[in-house]
Amino acid sequence: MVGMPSTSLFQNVEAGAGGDEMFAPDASVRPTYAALHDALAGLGPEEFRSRSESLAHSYLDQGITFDYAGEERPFPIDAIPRVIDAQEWSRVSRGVAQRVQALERFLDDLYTDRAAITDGVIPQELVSSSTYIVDAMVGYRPPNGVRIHISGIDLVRDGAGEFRVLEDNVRTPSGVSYVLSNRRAMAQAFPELFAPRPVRRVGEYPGRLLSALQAAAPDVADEDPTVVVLTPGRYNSAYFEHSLLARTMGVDLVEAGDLVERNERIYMRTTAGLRRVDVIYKRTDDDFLDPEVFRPDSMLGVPGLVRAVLAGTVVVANAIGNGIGDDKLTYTYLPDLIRYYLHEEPILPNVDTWRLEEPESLTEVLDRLDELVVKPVDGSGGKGIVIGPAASAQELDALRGRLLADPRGWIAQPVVQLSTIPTLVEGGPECRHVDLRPFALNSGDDIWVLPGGLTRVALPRGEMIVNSSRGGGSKDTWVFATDRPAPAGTGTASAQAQSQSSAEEERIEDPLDENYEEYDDLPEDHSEEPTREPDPVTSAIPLLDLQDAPDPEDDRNVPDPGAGPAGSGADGIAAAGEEEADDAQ
Amino acid sequence: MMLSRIADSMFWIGRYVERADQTARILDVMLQSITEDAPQDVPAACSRVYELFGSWAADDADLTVQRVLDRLVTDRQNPSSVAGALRTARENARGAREALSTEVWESLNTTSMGMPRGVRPSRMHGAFQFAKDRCAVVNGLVDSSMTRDEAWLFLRIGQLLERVDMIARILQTHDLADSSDAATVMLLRSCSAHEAYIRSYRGRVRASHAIEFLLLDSIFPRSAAHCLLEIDEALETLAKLHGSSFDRMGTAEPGRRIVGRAAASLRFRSLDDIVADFEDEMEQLQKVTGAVTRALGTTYFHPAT
Repeated sequence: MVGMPSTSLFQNVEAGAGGDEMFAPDASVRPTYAALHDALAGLGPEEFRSRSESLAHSYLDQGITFDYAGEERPFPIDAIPRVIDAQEWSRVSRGVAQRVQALERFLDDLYTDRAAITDGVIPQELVSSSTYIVDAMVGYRPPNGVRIHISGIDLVRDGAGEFRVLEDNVRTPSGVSYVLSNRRAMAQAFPELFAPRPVRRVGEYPGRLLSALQAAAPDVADEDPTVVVLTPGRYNSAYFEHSLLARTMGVDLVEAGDLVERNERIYMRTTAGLRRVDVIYKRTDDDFLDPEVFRPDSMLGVPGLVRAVLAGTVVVANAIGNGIGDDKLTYTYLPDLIRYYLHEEPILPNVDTWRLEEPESLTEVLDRLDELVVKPVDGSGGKGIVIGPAASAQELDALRGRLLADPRGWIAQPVVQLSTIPTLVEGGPECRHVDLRPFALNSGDDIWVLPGGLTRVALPRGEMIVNSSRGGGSKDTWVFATDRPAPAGTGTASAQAQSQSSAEEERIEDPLDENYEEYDDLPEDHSEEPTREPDPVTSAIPLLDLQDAPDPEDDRNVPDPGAGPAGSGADGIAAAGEEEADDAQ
Repeated sequence: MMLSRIADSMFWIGRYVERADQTARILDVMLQSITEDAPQDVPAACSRVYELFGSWAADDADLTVQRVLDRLVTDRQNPSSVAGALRTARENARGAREALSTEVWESLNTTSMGMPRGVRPSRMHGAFQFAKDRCAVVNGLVDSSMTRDEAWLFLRIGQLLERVDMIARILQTHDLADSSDAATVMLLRSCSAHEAYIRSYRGRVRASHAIEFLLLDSIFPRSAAHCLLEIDEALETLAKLHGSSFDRMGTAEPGRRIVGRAAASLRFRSLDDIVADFEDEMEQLQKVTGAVTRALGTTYFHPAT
């Protein structure tokens, strides 16, 4: 390794702090990051900073923003990617899929038989005290059974470097658009960083999402169901994402006012009148979805939508009433639910959590309030979280009162020492805390986990809450492809076959290739391809009639005014000779 | 077929980009002339500029070139200023991104962000040049990267209608009594038509020819007649896309009837007849653009369901 540039680029990274994903406690570079570290260090600080600036600039130009307090702000992207090796990713993605599967079973159970309550896995109170069970949806089961078409499972690395689940998001997880734009921006600004190790592609997400949504269509839909994305509007903080997903899937982005219910069917208003809608990917909260069932004052809702869903003429993704699935109290039961429904051990552990409705837990938590993190069970976006060690005495007193008044409304967790990754700030790269939100899509046939996911980074020093509303940024997240199988002779045949098939599925980013495309073509279903029609007559008609073409012989005989006769003759012979040689092979 | 709301946005993107472009072109010529022409009555000239854009001076302090620049060029809250029109176009585009190509969106986005916050009279030509260039880039990208589908047609119709509206406004404020060469050249230049006119009429600038050229020339892309005929064609294509049964008279659609009637009235009356009550005729022409906008609304943007 070249000593000089590396020390100057990463000189502000406190070596030996521990918990950093790039640097081990002894200040050496961890093997997963070695290639990236060397490539970054090789750029040198000036080049790195100037390319980082062009990265930020391209985000402004593209309008990649989020709305905060009514203001459109760019979402900061950090130029130092996060790297996850193939083996660890394989465990994470299996763990995420397992969780989604258990949550699907749980939601289905809760809205139908409630066997988990009968069998004593979860207490009756979890359901009866939750504000998230939507009574109107009890007894409803979607056509293909899927309720969590899209999920985002938040993970953190604890002090020991293990990934743990911090929370599940099975209503409207956002952030995947930044995964896609981050990759595009990084591939443009730092194409050569992708060269040393194969990084798995993320561009197939929109196509996979569309497939999962189409697979959810009601039985009454046509062969090619009409899918739309429902946004609260362009002042929503995630509007950029709604727009990007609609655009990359090639479907309409609708607002509530564009939809109308007639005879328990949902239509959109188009320039040619009303048009049937089969699947709605909703990005609004349940509360605002249908004023007939939820808040009557909602201007964002579609009156009659829930009736249409229950009539089976339209499917809403994610299903209405999923909120109980990401209730933070449900979270505490998830390891038990995985064992109960799937008869498996959880692959990804939870963060230890106290349920405050249990009297002895409440007492313990109240005692240790200044060293714990306390979260509202229904919060998202970091709202309402109190971090004990960082809170003032008054804040803790106020919190104590709230916990005593509504223990069901809160959970408590030990402070998890989040891992860090060097991140460019004013004076150069410094260690900053990160989390990870992998995204999973459930098509009913399988659960697919997008390689990587959204790494959010808290930009202020020491800050543990990474949400964009708290001044968070993000990092491109790289999952390395599985190593290609070694030549025959090593390893067992079955292991080889397995790694080969997984290598086939793992598509690789290659921004240096001139044919590099941001998104993959939508996956096509070839099974029912109609028999090919015969070629139209025109394909038998040559573009140019031979009689109209100049005779090549004549052409050759016309002396080139610029070259001598000997030269052109020699060229002609050489060309003919090559052709023959080709034929002979 | 597309969402009515998006169709509406496309139409207004077309109108606002054209408004920004035209406003920049007109102000470039008019303000230049005010600042160059020392003996001119500056407050009166500024007042005419406001009038042209359907605005007015709140008080005498508004009657300076600097104030005109503040209000009609850089004020982002005024959707009829250059920066405001670009911002409104950009806001509409933000709500209709899936119907626009990424190139068009990014170029609108950077254009809107790149407009200066304030401009001094000494530097104004640069700001106008920036706006004109950027609008040309947007229009060029629309032309080269967008499918000729409904979305494009609505955008195009918006652009053409705005152009008709602007030319009607300019002609309305033009003083017909002043048939001096200087006044006629000013008129042609504010319509970005001077060069084209010179080539068509071989140099001789005459007031009546200029009016004729701006209103009726069928192949000059900024003339009222040319734009109206193009709108009619676009409306016909739209109707065909919607599979409306063959419209033999070409009158089934209210929008086409309005446009066709206006075009015929301009083209088949004598010029003397049109200029007899010119101010009123130009007022009517502006009302035509409003009527077409409403007709599009009832047919496509807010159809009764």
